[in-house]
Amino acid sequence: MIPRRRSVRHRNCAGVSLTELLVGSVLLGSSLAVVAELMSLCVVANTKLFRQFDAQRGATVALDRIKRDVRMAQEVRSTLSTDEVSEFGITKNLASTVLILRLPIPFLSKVNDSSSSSYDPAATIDPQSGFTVPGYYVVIYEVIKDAENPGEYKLVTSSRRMPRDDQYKALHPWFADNCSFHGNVDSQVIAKGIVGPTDPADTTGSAPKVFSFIAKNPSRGNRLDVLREQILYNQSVASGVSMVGVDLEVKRGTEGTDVQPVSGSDNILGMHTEVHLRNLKTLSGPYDSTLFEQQE
Amino acid sequence: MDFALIKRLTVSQRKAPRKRRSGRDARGMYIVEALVAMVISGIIAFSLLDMLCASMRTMNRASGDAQAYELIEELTEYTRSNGYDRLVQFKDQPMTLTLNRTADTSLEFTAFHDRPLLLDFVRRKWQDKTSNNRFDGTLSYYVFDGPQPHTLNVAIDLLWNDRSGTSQRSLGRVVVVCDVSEQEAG
Repeated sequence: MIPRRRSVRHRNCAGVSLTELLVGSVLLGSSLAVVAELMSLCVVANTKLFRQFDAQRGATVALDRIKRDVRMAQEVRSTLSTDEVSEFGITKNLASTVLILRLPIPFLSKVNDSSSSSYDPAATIDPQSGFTVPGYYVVIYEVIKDAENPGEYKLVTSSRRMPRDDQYKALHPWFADNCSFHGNVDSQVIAKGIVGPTDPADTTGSAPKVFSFIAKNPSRGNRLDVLREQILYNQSVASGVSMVGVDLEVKRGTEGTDVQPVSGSDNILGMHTEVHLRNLKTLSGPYDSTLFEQQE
Repeated sequence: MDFALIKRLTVSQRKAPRKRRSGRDARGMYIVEALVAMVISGIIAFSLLDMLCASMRTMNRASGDAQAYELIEELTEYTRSNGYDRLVQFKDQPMTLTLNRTADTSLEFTAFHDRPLLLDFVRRKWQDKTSNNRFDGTLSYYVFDGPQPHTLNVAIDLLWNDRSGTSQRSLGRVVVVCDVSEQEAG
């Protein structure tokens, strides 16, 4: 039988004195407090950095998509045609919140398109692939209010192929039967959390001024200058746009409502890019110098 | 069972200190031991924090590098958009282009480019945090004779500081622009 242990009180096992315990606790407590403060700072900094990357990535994805379409575009449009309005179900005008582009349709045989039901993996690549076919895509980018996040906006895109399906079939039956086209896109969100930039003179809280339109200014030796927004309704002006500027100010993280709420850790990032239309069909002009914004 | 063995297993293995402290039979932990333990754990904690900070610095640097690369790409595109006929007017004139315009900065070389290359804080209203996060540096743009007749070289050089301010970084590119009309005629 195992004998009972001696009582702790009588055991020869003296611990620390109360003073030592107190001093040790104070030292441990203070060092833990320092480490905890540092950890807290690190968490905030890490969250901020993560959000900065997230904002940068979000803005870059949106900008890359816009850049790709602008580079391919044949023309910037000032407004939608009657047929296009009936296709989209709404009218749109070129502005600092709306970008309307016409893109060519490249030929892609249905048998070469892996997303088509007629796809044949054994089929050879059609020699006409990449050549443009009759018609065009209308692509609209628009900045709209984000109903889920008050004070924030989102960038959405929609696209349609023109002429409409029935008209296209009647006009170009061979292409309609053999070419693979993109499907319609309706208000696809490509960027969220847009909070700016806005017009400094505007106090009504209007939508961020994301797009700017640039053309050659003959009175300044063909310097590429920004066109005034007020004259963008004119198609002869829009046809002469040779570059599109995009400004995006993206916010990530909202204090208190986020998955990881860390006070002061929301991050806002601004990005600006200017992209050239490389595929212009025609370029109108020369312009009057009064059509351009006065920068100086 | 051997009682001595049970005793050895149940009673602390720690030997009594060689010297008694304050006349007390203290077999617990010395304050020195506690301090040593704290110092070691402190060193470990600080090295972990340092690693975290280092990774954050690297991420910051990568973010700056990415923005610099984007800017150079954009300037390349801008150069091509301008074309030979316009660029030749600015040959052999070293230019420093404005990256961000604030109320305190004025635009330079407006005959070539009349707006900032990145953010315009005068004509657009941006949030304060954007202003703090903005990428800043010095961009020099120099047009000079190209490798062949009727060609131009455009040297684009960007210098910027890390956000931590620890190092200066640079990125450059030379773009060759041809006089297309001359080549077509030739």
